[in-house]
Amino acid sequence: MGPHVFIPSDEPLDRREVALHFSRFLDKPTLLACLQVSRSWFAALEPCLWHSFTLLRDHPNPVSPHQPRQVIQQRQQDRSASLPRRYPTLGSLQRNARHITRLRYFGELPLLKALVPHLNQLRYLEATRYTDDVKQLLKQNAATLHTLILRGDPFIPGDTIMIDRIWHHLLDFTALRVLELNGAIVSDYEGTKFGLLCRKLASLSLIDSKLLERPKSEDEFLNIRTLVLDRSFLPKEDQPSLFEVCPALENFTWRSRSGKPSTFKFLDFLNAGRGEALSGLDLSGSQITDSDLASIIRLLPGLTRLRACNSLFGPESTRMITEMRQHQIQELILLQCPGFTQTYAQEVLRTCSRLRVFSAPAVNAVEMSQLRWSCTGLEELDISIAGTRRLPGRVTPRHRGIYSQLAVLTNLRVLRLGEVTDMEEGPFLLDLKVHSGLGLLSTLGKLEVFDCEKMKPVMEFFDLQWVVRNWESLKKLVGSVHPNYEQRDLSNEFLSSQLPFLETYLTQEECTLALVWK
Amino acid sequence: MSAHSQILLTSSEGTEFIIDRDIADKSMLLKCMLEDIGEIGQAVPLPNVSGPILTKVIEYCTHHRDDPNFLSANDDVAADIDEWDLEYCKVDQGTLYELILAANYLDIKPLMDLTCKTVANMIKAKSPEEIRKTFNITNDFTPDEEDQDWVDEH
Repeated sequence: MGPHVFIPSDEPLDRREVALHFSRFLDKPTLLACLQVSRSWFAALEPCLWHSFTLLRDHPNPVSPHQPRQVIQQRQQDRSASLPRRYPTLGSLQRNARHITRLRYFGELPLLKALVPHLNQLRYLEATRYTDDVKQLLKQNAATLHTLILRGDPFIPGDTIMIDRIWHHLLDFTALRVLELNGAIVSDYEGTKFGLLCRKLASLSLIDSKLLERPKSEDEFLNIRTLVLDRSFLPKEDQPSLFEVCPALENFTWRSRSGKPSTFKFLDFLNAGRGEALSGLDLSGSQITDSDLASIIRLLPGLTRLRACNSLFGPESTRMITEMRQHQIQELILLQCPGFTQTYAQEVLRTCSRLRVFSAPAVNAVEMSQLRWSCTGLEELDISIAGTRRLPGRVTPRHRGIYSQLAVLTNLRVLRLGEVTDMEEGPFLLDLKVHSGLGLLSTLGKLEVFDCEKMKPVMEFFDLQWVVRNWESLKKLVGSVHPNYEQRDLSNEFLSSQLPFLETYLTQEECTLALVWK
Repeated sequence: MSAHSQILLTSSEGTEFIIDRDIADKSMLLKCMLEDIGEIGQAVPLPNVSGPILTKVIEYCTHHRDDPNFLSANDDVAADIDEWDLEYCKVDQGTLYELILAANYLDIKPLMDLTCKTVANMIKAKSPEEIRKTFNITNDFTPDEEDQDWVDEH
């Protein structure tokens, strides 16, 4: 056996699965650099760029908080459907369209028509119109599609689409597990098809949809783990007990039309007995009384995630959480709940040690500075700070208390801060200066989103520099642009030189600067 | 099937390796193959894997034989590589490439993740020229192709 000579070669990348696997470990800038290394590297890695693709038409408010990592966004100023700078060209897209497995498509663009014949491997499809192109895509991808989302344009409030007789087509979809539809109708003659389809599904979301009375199939919701009913109704016969209909249910969302008092008998519907598997509940916008909410919480022993924005969540529900669920509750989102006062918020923060996500209308500034929170593992926090007037007069101690409480939350990925003050109490007192106290937040090494839009002051250039240098994981920064032009220019120049992949754009209404880094 | 049953593997040059069944099962390819053919004691030929590389692969699988997280690990691309694995990957590039190919062929996902992550870390934040230097790759683009607007810069 002679000595073995290893000759470095490009061979590993020639295998498609190796190239795809390898590309998962590369961030975007490195992947783009790899494409320029040599011809064989280009050929091997170019398809990896197109695994996931989003087509957006121009709209006023581009960014939603939860963008998947691979999203390609369109620049604000560009009115046509061309691709943004620093991303591959149309030619590259056309060469690699057949590799796209995830497609999100907002609006209507001629570009999609050209791509449709090549898109045969889709596993995920999200669109805002049930057009002929979309129907064609559904036909072509019946065997591979795992997730289908057809909903109105998320950036146009109240937008809905009409989906006509889709159930018949969806029956062929052998791999479909996640379905979200907006404006769907299940009429009585389609009832069995709907039932057959639902038996395969793990997740069903119906928005502005109607399920009319129909002959029921056996066990049609047997495998459903996530059910979302947003302005949609189950017919009366399904109403008595949700858990008998959906025994495997883990996440349930019910949103009714705002403003309408709900006559729906939630307590009967969510009757216990088989509700142990339910861990996530969203009853935002429903006008359930505080007392009924408390009873519901008591009936669900496995509850760890509760969202009830714009609801009557109040003292009784708080007590139920802090006395019965304090060791298990992980997510509590209670924005716009007038009954969830600062006192109750403080109680939650004091007792619920496993809280990872918390949103509340207001938290008291003095209590925040003096009493320690038990939920040090918080990952997402959205609060407004009230009662700043009562803090000690000078700048430093005032901020120190607040920022030092936040500094302890080293697992924070998302931080949204505001300040609440009424006219009587006087001016806003909190600022975002490093020297006042922001500097204490250097401990937040995992922070990805910092949103201080609801705080009155702007971030000065010095503070902006600090933010960029200290928060290495930062992907999104939302705040107010300095009205002073010089400061604004300095900031822009700094950002584009330090972080070349940072996309910046301004919303059209006020001068809100939202910086997004991919 | 006892836990101590043994498997005979043959590398591309014909070198024979005897390993325990539970170590062989780290490779999904071998695991499925052995489930099908049973334990007849015949050698499993691996014409795509040379002796030295097979030795390295067996070393990895042996070290991780009792690792409870073996299959579920490494879905987090940002996770750090542990000490032993780091040392394991301190080999010349040719060997690293061969390990990637072997892990792919033998279907050992954690080894695949480890080797790919190692190579990815070597080129992180580098320019194309620096990447070429790292791997001794010639730039075979023509000057026209280099300027081509496969990336829009406007």
